[in-house]
Amino acid sequence: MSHSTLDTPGGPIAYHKTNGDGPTIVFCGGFMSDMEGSKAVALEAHAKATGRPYVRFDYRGHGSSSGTFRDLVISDWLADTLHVLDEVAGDDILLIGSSMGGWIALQAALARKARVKGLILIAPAPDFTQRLMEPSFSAEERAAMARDGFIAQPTDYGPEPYIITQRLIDDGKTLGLLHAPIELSCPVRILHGQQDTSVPWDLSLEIADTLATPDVVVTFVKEGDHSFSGPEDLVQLLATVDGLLG
Amino acid sequence: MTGNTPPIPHRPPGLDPGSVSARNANQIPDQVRDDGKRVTHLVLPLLALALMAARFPDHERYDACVAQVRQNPAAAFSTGLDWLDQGGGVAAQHCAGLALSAMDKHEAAGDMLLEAANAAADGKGVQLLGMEITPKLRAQLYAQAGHSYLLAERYAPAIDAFTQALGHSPGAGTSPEAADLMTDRARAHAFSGNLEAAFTDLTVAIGILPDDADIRLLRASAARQTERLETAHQDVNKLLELRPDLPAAWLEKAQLAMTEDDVALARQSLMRAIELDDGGPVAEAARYMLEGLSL
Repeated sequence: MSHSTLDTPGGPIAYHKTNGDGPTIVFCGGFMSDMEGSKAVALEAHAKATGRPYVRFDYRGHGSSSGTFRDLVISDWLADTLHVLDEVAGDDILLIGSSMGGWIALQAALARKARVKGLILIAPAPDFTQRLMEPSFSAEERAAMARDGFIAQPTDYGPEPYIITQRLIDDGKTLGLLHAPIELSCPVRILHGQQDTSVPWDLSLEIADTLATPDVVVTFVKEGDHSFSGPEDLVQLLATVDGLLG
Repeated sequence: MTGNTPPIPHRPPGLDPGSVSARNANQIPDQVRDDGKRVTHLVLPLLALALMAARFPDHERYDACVAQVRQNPAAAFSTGLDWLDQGGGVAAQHCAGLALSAMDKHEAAGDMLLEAANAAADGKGVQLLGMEITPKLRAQLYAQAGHSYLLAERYAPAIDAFTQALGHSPGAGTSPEAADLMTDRARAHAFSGNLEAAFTDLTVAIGILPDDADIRLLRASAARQTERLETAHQDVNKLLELRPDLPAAWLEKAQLAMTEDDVALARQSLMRAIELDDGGPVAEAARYMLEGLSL
């Protein structure tokens, strides 16, 4: 699983690039994701099979890239994405973002409007720090956050917590998207599993309403979960790629 | 998002019954639910029976029927039934059962093979075949019935068949064959949701074959799921000592790490499984589990 490395001012970013013709498909993973996950790898196999260029990468603090997760925030991962778009991908881009990667993909598309020819958002979670994280904090967690600058949130699969920093929350506020029209004109496809217990599926309807472009199709998969990486989900994802790229 | 971290997608069935939605259960590879191994079980005793039958008058008919199973199982089934009508006994039933199995009619195959095993156990058909049916052969016939029931997802008769096989197996339950049968019965117990019974059988099997990696892997999984984490650790450690490059061992280590809250170790173990099996079914399962670690 050797990978290529892109040097950035913030540190090296690990990535895999597949060469081909047409717009470069770039996959942006979620919070604590890894570019070895099912979706990123399935997209790569599909890109190879169809002769399209493709890039998967790890944000700093994730997977094989440099950096420490808790020291980094969403704008760092957006900066990583823009480095990948500018220095690894070709001119034309199809951006795919999963969960937090959906937020980052929307922001990256706004930053590179002329080059991003389409967006696929999977269980997108724009504004999740404000919309989903902060409201979930207990009184004790709010007090701990004020006192320590971070909280340790338990996960469903064990008490080893995720560290959520006040910096992450504050940074999220500067990147919020859902308070005003999202001025994108490219086609956008949104896929969301209705068994998602992390990001409510009706958030995708709000995103669709907030997008300025009229070319938005939202697909709900009744049995899909947040990871959207079961075999049928992957088939749906790849078909969506084919649908946008023709 | 953080208050509702998505559940980790477990490895599909194997010894994790019910851990994956029905939607995905048959489509995601599973390191434990090794259908290939079961099919091997079905083929090997067939050869043994063929070798034994070669000494008896009907051997050519039996050999021809079995050869037909591989070429044209539907025709072989008819051949077997016709032969049974003509008094072919256990050999004819056995061939017909194998034909059903080859046609993926596993429940019917199980019924037919069980009938053959019962007939053999009762002594019926012995004269027709002109052969002595040894306890080992009877055990093989019951085991084949059990494997067919497993493939048919009919766990209660599978457990019964393996229990019968163990009763006929030579060596008073201490032979390697008995360990295999215990392991097969453990699979049936696990699929039926009785992980305690699976653990018990696997513990007996490990007593007989302590260095068998497959059994270690299964018991590690059963031990983890019955919250015997110390035993699960022992099995995983032994497994990795025996087979450090076995991708499924690293997948199990990742499962255990998740159970024990060690996300970093889980991630590291998943990456090792992916590295060792890149492009294979275990890596695919590991990638799927990796997805569950992100938000």
